[in-house]
Amino acid sequence: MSFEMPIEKWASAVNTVTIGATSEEGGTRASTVTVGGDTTLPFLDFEGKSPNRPAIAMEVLDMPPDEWPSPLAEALGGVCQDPGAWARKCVEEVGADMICLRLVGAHPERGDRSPEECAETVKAVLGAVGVPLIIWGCGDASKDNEIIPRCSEAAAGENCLLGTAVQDNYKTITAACMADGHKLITEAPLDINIQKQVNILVTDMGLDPSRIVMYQSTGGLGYGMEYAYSIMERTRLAALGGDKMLSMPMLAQVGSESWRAKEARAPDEAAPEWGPVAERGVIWEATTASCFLHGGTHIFVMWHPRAVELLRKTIDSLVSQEN
Amino acid sequence: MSSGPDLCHADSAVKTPIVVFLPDGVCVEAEPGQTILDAARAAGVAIDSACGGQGSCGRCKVLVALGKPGGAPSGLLSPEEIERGMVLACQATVEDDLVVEVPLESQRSELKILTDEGRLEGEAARDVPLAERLSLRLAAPEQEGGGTGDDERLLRALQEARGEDFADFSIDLPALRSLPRLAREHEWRVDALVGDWDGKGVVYDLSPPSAREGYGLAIDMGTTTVVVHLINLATGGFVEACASLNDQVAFGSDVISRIIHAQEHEDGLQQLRAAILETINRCVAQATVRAGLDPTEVIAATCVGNTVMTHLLLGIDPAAIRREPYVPAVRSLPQLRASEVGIEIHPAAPICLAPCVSSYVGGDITAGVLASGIGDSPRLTLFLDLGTNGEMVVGQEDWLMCCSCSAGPAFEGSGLEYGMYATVGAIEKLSYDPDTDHVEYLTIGEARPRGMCGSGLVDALAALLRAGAIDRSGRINLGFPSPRVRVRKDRPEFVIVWGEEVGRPDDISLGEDDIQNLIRSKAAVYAGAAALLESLGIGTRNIERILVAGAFGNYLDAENAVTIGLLPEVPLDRIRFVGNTAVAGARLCLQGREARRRTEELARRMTNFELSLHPGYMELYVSGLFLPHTDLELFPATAERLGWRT
Repeated sequence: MSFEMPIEKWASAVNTVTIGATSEEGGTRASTVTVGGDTTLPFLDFEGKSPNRPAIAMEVLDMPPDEWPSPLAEALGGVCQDPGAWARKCVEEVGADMICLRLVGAHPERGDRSPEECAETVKAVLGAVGVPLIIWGCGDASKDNEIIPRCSEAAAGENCLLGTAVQDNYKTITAACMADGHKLITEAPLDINIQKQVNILVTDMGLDPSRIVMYQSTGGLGYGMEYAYSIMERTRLAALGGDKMLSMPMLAQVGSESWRAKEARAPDEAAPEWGPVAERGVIWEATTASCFLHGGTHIFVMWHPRAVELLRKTIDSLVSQEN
Repeated sequence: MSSGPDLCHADSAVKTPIVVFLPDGVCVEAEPGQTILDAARAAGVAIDSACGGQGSCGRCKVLVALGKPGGAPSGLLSPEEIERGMVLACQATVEDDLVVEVPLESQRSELKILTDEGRLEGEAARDVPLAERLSLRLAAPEQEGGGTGDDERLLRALQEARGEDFADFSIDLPALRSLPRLAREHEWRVDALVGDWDGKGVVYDLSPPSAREGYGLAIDMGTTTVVVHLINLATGGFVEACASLNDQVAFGSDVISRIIHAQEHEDGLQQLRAAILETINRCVAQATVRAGLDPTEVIAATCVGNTVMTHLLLGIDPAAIRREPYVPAVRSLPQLRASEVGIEIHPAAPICLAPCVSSYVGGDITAGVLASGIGDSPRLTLFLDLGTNGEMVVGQEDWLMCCSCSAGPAFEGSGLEYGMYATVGAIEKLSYDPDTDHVEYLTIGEARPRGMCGSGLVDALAALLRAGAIDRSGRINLGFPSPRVRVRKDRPEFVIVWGEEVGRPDDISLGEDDIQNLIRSKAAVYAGAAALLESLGIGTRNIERILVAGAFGNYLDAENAVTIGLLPEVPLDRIRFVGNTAVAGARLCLQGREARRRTEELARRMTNFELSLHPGYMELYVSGLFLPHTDLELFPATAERLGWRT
């Protein structure tokens, strides 16, 4: 008697989302990124297909970070004054699929940069690299409502990914996204119901669900990672089960969350028993990423070049050869 | 020296500050440093307070007309109000003589209550009332030999009159004391008050023969509101209803804060007991005065309340209710006497308290289940009693499960800027036509609108959702093309009634914060019901009827209640609003021994389901924080009505 593999068949699939537009598509990108389309749980290629590789974005800030742990400073310190150069390094030297530009400098308590300055930064990064762009606000709701429309306009036609729409503040960014032909990130505080609620709210405004990527405010290793993982897994199961309001691809902020942990940052003299900081932070970030890869994340926002390298290796070893 | 007026006494050597409260003109001596609210309470002046004197609700605004109070000004007051001399009574202290004016909006008004006459088809099996007034004719000793005592002749008369219903009789000592003289003075005719002690008739009072009738009280002790019905025990007829805000509100708006008060203050439990008694006795006095009765003509009372209220009424420490493993001190109570409890009616009158099921499912629910008859019906019923706590019972004649969730008092109108209890002037029904921008409404008593009660709030929320004036998370759509949508003092709101149209200084509005409050309440209720049904493996389509009890108003629009996700979606004809079932149950118990026996049985039959132990409750709650719900598939007909995709 031959053994027959029990196969789980799912009725639905994760939405396929493409970010970036080439000149034929009305933009100026040299490449685009397509994620999603999965008809099975992550890497169960005997059950269904995951036609698109997970994508790796690297984060670029519009101003140098306040306090960088030494490994990040060593890797990126030379370019952190110039978002364009920073983005170029990520693409040319590290091979990032996308750039995630986070406009922290617009925050009223940081640089309080004007919407015009932010739009200039967006243009500079678009000019510096040919990969698709994620544009992320500063986190202050009212300031984001000023800068995002301007940045969106400056990048019109580039099919960027704009973030983030949250339950308390989703209208301005959604309207900008619809007006300028971008994709949208909806964010929820590690809560599957709120995620779905935000998705409903933005689609109720008229945004097509196929233009949404979901972000559950990630928790890094040691700081709620398993919680984030289980939310991702449940979201994926909901998508495969046919819940249209949870069928969008998922994004994870791995870099910023991992490097927030004191275990990742603490200098050698502060915690000699934890091993050298030069390795520690990178492993912390790569481990978090690896976990989320298994959870079904489609877009990783990473920081350290070596963590990116490790993640790429992991992806290589997991995705089926056909892809 | 003194900036205040020297009002009631002239002794300035050791001066106790005097506070005069206007418009009542009540004068009270205050301890220096005491808050104005405490002084008012001591003077019997009713000042509104929802937060229990925490300084957070801003309801106890008073105007200091003369004198200078202590304490820092509150951030809840506008600069103009401070300029005029407004203070929060719970924050301002008495340092010197004061004249305090209590403005109309801060006076705690008596509530006019819907009596719910005839809301439930009466299966009011009136058999043996809790007490009755019997006119008896005793045999004279001359007529019989054998030297029998007066007591035996009284017992024999009782046996003849009511022997069918009582297995046995006994006579209280005070009655025995009055018996020989009364009987002889009135030619062996006496009126006896006989209480039913579980089948035994107890004579607790004797009086000269008269044509008077006995009256009883059905008392619903709500966390926020106390409702009292006065009933003619001879006929079963309704005589008067009276209601009042529970004075305990001054010690906190929910049962948990009251338990904490009882624990943290030395005489906290006594204060709470005094406050509920004061509230009940005020209602009793009002009802009897209106009916032209002496309070001693009220010869029995039944009390129903949640478990904590039941403890507090009796002065039993409720502390364990709040602590793991969350048990009450008492569930079932013996029949007591009015004087023991402190209710100011006939002092020896029997008081029957409905038994509680668990720490958070109390006698009001047992009474409600009795009144709604769900324990006798083969139909699978979901019964919800929506007050400050939302309790739900699901089951039928063979089984009953219940649970309780903390819904908050939003649907009682509390905690909302223009929310109010279902009383005169409350908007209880409304609809909105976005094409004409017209709001059609109906107020209780057809009076000038003062605010919105539960049913009006349900209608408002559904109407705004339908019109698109709010999104599904309850945020006001500021782009909505109507002048009714506006931002006032940073608060996005929708104007329900323009003040100028009804001669009010301000507009009646529903703010985004109010809406969030309502959504949290309805989500808690829905989640409680969902968790209960889920744990039983019952789908909503299997529910044959939903009975909704509570103080919403005269109507509760079933479609609107489903549209906002307060109730699970079932065919609308399965939903029925049944009003205040707690007081209805209390009335049944007042009038029937079988009803009293049944409540005991029902309390024992109900299986308590502890929501706090349900791991999925929080998630069910968050998924309910949406209109009508995050999962539209649970509301397919509603989605279709509103033209939404599922």
